[in-house]
Amino acid sequence: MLNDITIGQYYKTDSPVHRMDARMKLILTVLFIVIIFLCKNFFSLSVMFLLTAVSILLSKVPFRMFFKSLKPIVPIILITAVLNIFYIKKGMTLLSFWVITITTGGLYTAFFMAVRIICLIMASSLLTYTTVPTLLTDAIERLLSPLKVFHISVHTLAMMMTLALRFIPTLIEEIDRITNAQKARGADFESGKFLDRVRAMIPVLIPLFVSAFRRAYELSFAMTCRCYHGGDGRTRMKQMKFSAADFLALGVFLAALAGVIVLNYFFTALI
Amino acid sequence: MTNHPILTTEDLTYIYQKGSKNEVPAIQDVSIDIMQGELVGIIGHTGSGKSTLIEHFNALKKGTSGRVLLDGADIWADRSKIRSVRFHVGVCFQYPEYQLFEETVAKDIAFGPKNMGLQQDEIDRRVSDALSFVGLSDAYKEKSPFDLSGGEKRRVAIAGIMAMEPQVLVLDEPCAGLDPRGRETVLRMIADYRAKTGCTVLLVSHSMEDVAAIADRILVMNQSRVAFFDTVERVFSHAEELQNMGLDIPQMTHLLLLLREKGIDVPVNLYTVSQVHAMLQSRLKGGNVNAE
Amino acid sequence: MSSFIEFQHVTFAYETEGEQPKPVLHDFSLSVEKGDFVAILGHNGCGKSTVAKLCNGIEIPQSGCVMVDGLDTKVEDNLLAIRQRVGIVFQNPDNQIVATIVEDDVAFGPENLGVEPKEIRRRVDEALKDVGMYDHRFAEPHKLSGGQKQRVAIAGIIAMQPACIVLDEPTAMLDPRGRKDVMKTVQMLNREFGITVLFITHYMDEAAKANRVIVMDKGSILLDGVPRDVFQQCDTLRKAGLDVPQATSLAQLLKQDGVSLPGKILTVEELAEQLAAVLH
Repeated sequence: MLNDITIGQYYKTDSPVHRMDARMKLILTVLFIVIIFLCKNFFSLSVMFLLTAVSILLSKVPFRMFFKSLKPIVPIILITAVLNIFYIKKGMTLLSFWVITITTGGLYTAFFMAVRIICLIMASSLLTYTTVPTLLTDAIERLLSPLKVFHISVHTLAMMMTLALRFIPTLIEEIDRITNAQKARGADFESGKFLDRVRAMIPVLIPLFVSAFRRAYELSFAMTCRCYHGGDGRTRMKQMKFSAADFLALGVFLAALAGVIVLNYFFTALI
Repeated sequence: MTNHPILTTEDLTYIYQKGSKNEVPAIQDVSIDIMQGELVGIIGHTGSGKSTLIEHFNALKKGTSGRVLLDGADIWADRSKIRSVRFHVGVCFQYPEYQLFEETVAKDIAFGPKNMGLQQDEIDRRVSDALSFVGLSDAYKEKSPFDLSGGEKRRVAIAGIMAMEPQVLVLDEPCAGLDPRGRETVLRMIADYRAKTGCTVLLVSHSMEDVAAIADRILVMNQSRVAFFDTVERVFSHAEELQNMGLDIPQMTHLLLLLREKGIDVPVNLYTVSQVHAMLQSRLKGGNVNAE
Repeated sequence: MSSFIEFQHVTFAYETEGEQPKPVLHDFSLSVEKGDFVAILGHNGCGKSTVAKLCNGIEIPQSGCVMVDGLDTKVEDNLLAIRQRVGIVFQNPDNQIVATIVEDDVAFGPENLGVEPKEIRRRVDEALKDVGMYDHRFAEPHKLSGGQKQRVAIAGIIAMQPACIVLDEPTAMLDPRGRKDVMKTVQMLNREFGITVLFITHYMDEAAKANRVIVMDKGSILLDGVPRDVFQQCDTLRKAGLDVPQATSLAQLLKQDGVSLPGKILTVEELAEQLAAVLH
């Protein structure tokens, strides 16, 4: 059944990470990215690796979900690793053949970079796995609302994102309906050359656009009727509140930051 | 109507998400014979499986088990001929006006015939014929379908299916959302089409009055199974079971049943106001009633 | 009872490019009493949807005026207050739900009005209970049936605590079960909470449940009265492209034949009662 479409990759379960305030999760994800780029050696990096592992365990999201999100990144990890191995010439030479020289320094760096990318992907996946998309847009809106000073309407952007999330399943259903209707009139979407197939999409795309515009038009009426007049003077039913757990998490991340700085200082930098 | 089955299903079953934990049966063990030239009304409330059943008739869905036979031949016997099945069983889905896409009415109606690979003069003939079936003049040919009224759009979309000259025409709630005048026009149009072409017509409807007025037989779907498939008279004789399924019965049938309850011997196989009126007229004239 | 919505000699035409604007309403006057349940019947294009849009200033009359609770819809500053008082539910349930979770959608109106968060929470829960959708409060709207979506839309309106709800063919796209549920909900809101209802439809069985039926044709009022009286006008209704209840229609035919059927028959039950007396 097509109405089982779920947008984003939210993994439904109950865990301390799921319960955290979306704003804090967003802040911590950004903080995490900053800290991981501060790491200069394996000692500091291992702190962040540990932090990632603990967060994942706490989230109760199964490991296979994270492997799934890593899959598309594997080529990038491999390419950077190979480039690092061949280009970095530091430390002891392990192998020298024709123009290729592999050094311990190159191997270390390649490994370091790979772990760093993996941690980055895991952390951002963790955010999307544990936070409903609408809450995420909400969090972005609330965190960026000070930008109002610069006349940037964060509210409008967030509203557009929410409406997009709301209507994507509806439009996917619509595509399915129209496709079936045109198939019933003998439309052929499966055979022919690439250009034929693109042309075959026209009988689906035109009705889809017509319908999307009609929906947008009617929706704007409905929103006006429900007193929508932009973000000014708007309140929210769901208040976001930081809990003790949120501050605890922040504390842990700040401690990790301190740890990374200290470890960077005491041990030689790898990169 | 003949005794030659044009469309047959044998133990047709379709299960959503087969093999997963949340299997949902959409239709189960549906075995029916639709005869050449008959008009079958299909009723049942939303989720009863009627829409899924229709999608099997023109091979948009393939049964999890069971077969669909068109004129005696399994429609899935040769996968390369699936498209031709769709030309023989023309299905017009709910709110078909949302599938219109061409610049002109004529081009839109010609979409099906063109996909069939017909010659241009044959396509032109069919477009004209189809337009006249839905009661629109040739003046509509060059109009943009998007400039028409809701009811006219609906008729153009139905014409697009009729132009394929299918052996079986399936209409899924062709009157949904139309006003009474529009509903009446579309219903009359369907009855005329069938009278002129002798085609088999399947009509899905929520209106018991409409179905009773024009169908030969009625297929009642309930909880993914066939509840009844019989003549109008016999189906509506199960008034109580129908009501238990959450379905209505025609208002006139309801009236006659109430009269019977009050001990008045009236036939109950009448469904329209004029039928009941004629019956009562003859009863009252017959003098077996103490009219004043 | 006092008049809540008042159309005074309203003329309205949609502006179309190049063409001469066709007047949809011409010298249209109507007054809706507070707490009343009024049905507007008419075929497509008779101007009934325009009446809905004029009720809360989505459209503004070219001449004449529309007053809501003493507020003129022409005055820009009145609009927010008017829209809080008169909510509209539209035909297509999909195109009026803005959020991805049912309860967030119901909260949308009160949030726009700047209501206190705690009060919004209370109103949302109440509204969802009133329309019988509280158990679905965490559901995603696109997974609901048409009738359920329409009830969520109604909850979204009543959470704004309006005095009046205008429903523009709310049942046209629903199946019989959905239609019944929506109708029951609207009747309950009118009876229990005294909300003024303006119900636009082309189903005469729904209109029959109103206190007052207005039949529109070509932008003006053709008939206006209690359902029982209005539905006796079979010929006028048919000319306006509308159905007549089958029982009324049959009773009229029999009366023409000289059968004595006293009273104004509206339902099958009433007709059966009277016919039985005649036939016995």
